[in-house]
Amino acid sequence: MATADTILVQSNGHTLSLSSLAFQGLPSTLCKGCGHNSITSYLIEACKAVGVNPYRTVKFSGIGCSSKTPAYFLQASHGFNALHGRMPSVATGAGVANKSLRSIGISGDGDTANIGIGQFKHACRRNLPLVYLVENNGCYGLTKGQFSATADQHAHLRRETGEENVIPPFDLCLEAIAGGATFIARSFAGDKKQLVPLLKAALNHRGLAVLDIISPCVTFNDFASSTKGWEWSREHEKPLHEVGFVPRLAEIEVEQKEGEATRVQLHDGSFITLRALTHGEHNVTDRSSAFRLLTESASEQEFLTGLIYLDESRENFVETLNMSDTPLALLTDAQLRPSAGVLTSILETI
Amino acid sequence: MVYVGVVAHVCGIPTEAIEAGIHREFPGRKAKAAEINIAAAAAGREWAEANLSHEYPYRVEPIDATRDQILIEGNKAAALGVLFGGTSVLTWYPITPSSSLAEYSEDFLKKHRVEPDGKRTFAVVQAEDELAAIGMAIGAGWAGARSLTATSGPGISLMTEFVGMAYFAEIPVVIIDVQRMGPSTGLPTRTSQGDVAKLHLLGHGDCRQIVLIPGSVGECYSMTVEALDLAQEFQTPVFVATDLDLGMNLWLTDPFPYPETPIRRGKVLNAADLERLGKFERYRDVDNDGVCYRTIPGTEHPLAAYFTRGTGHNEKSGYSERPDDWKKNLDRLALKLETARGRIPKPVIDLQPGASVGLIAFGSTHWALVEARDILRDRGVETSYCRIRSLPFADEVLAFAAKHERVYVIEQNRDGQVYHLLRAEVPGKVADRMISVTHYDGTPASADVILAPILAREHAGTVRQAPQVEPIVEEPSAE
Repeated sequence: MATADTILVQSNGHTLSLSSLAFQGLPSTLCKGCGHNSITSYLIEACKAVGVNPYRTVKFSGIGCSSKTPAYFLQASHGFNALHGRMPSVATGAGVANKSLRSIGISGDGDTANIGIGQFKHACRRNLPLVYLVENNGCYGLTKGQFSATADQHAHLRRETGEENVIPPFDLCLEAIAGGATFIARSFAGDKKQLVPLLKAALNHRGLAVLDIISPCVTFNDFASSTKGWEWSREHEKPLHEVGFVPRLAEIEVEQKEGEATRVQLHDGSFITLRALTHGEHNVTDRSSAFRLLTESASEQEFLTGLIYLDESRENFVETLNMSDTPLALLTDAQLRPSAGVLTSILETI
Repeated sequence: MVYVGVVAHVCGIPTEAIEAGIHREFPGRKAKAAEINIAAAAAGREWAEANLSHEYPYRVEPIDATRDQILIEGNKAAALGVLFGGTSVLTWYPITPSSSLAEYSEDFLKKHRVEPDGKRTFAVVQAEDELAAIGMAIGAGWAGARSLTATSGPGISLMTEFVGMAYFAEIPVVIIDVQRMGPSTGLPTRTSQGDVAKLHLLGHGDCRQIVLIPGSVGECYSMTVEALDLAQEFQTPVFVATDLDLGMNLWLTDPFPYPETPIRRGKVLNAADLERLGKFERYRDVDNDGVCYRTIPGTEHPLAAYFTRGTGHNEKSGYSERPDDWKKNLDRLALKLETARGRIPKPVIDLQPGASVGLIAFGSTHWALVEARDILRDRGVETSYCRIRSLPFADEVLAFAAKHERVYVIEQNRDGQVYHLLRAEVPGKVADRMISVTHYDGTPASADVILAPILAREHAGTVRQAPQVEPIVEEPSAE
């Protein structure tokens, strides 16, 4: 039985009862009040809630404050803290090597929008099965606060009177949708109510789930005018909808009330529910509607949050490879090396 | 085609052989063209018969010497190594002269690594660049696949940061470098041995990589198989340094033997092992050989997980900046290389009794060297020969150098890269006996370029005039 301290997870058809410690990690060494710490705790909550099996989950990150966080959750999972901007390629290789694993990648705005924009966009293009969190604070915390490519135009460096950023930012959600990602959301580290169900849905998504999460840097980018700070973000956040997540097994218990919420079914049978709060005309399954929403809200300087785009129909990259049921990492010698007769027959044709 | 007929007459090639050759060139729907070409060749032969009376000294006759041999490029041979070495993940980015290696590999895998249900026991990913190609290969190696990528010099440059990480985090991966002329785009369609030292030292900080150096297409095959096993055994990047001459040209060879030993997987602990041991520390040197045990992601056991990182780490893979942790780890990696030194391909040594001259070469230089030795013998210079097949140098290579009065190190790069690596490992007195012979114009080394500087030196001081040669003999330093 699951108690407060144990979590039941499914593994190859049997149920494991795991201590909730398996979902925890080492104490964070990030600054007190860092948005990343909030995201870590919500991720742990979402993983427990949807029954993520830590043994069958792998964690990836690049380099930066955000990329340190895989040490702070799912300590029973293997983790790989890779190179700056190169997390997607490592996650691609591991995902191909063992298609039975669930992958969670943590990155930051510098790691993704600057040095890693190429690998990020190719991960989108491939629709890699990966939950890809960008903990976005508009600056490089680990190297003391330099601007990143998501810093807003006219943002100030480190303090109100700091140097002004003159270049407009990349909008990572827009980049993701142009690139081909199939689950795109923007959220805020201070919005637990929205972020937890989004994370639950992302964990059950078939392909690449990009979550661009504004996550204030309390040390270098949290002054009153900072559009990536706690105060500004709390005051200006405009949720698109109330988000709910309905797991597959609970499906029958849910009755959709007419006109109240949109339900979108995920590939594994679970649902995400969206009750519109603003931009009621937006359809999350319509790519051009998502483009329009993102470009219009950017020109209005709205801080819109919520699920922006969802496509459950597209095959993920691993599915396109038509690999054997046994993951490549677990193949037998006989599966890996053809017989001597095959060598002879090949040599006869050369 | 008229010319073909003339040459056939002059060299005595039978009409049937010419016709068979033309039919082979124009198969199937092109067969009509064969008839026209056969007629043209026949016309050439008739004209030659009527008009050429001179007897030529060259005859072309069929002999049996190549019976049972095959004609193959090194890249295709290496692709067979990819197949029979049990590669499960191949990642690559197109670059001359390695592209065909990946493409041949994919062809072989698609044909011979498919389950009865049509599903594949491999994955090939064409990456967006070499940064991603190596990142994917490393991710796959970490997750338990036998992964491999192929590239050439510029690609190696882009892979450097990841290779340093894989060395330090101890992740198996095979990287084939089909060398071409650099720096930069250089001469992409010309051959070179200019990456060897770079491969051995690739990375940042203190790195020493294992490099296998095939000297034939047969070794392109067998060393690719070997590299896949060594990467697993030593949990580290393993390079196979071929070159364009081997890789893209057709070579005659005996058919390749099936691998003698089963697939080797190195020190991997599964859930049952962990249960039995009751303890697991990723970077603990349990066997005192520098090689630690690892677990594969997905292993269902509370002890299985560890956090792979490029940062300083302790034996438990935890973050550490402690000087003793750092130094201990680097020292263990050095010990691991020493263990590997005795297990990687040994040199091939031909010791001639009484020879005071030793020749050291590697890779595709071998073939020119065989010819050069014959000519040297005719000119009164008896030589012993050591063909290096891997880095770090086996003890036998160092002992060979110590045995000879003059040791020529012959290689296809400007600065004598292996010459310098060797000098760093042998005693000073031995280093002083070493002489670098280099060839670096983009063409494969020929016997002439090897002979000239050696003869010039060996015959210096005798009445015989040294041949006119480019000054490519490096004098031993006076250190």
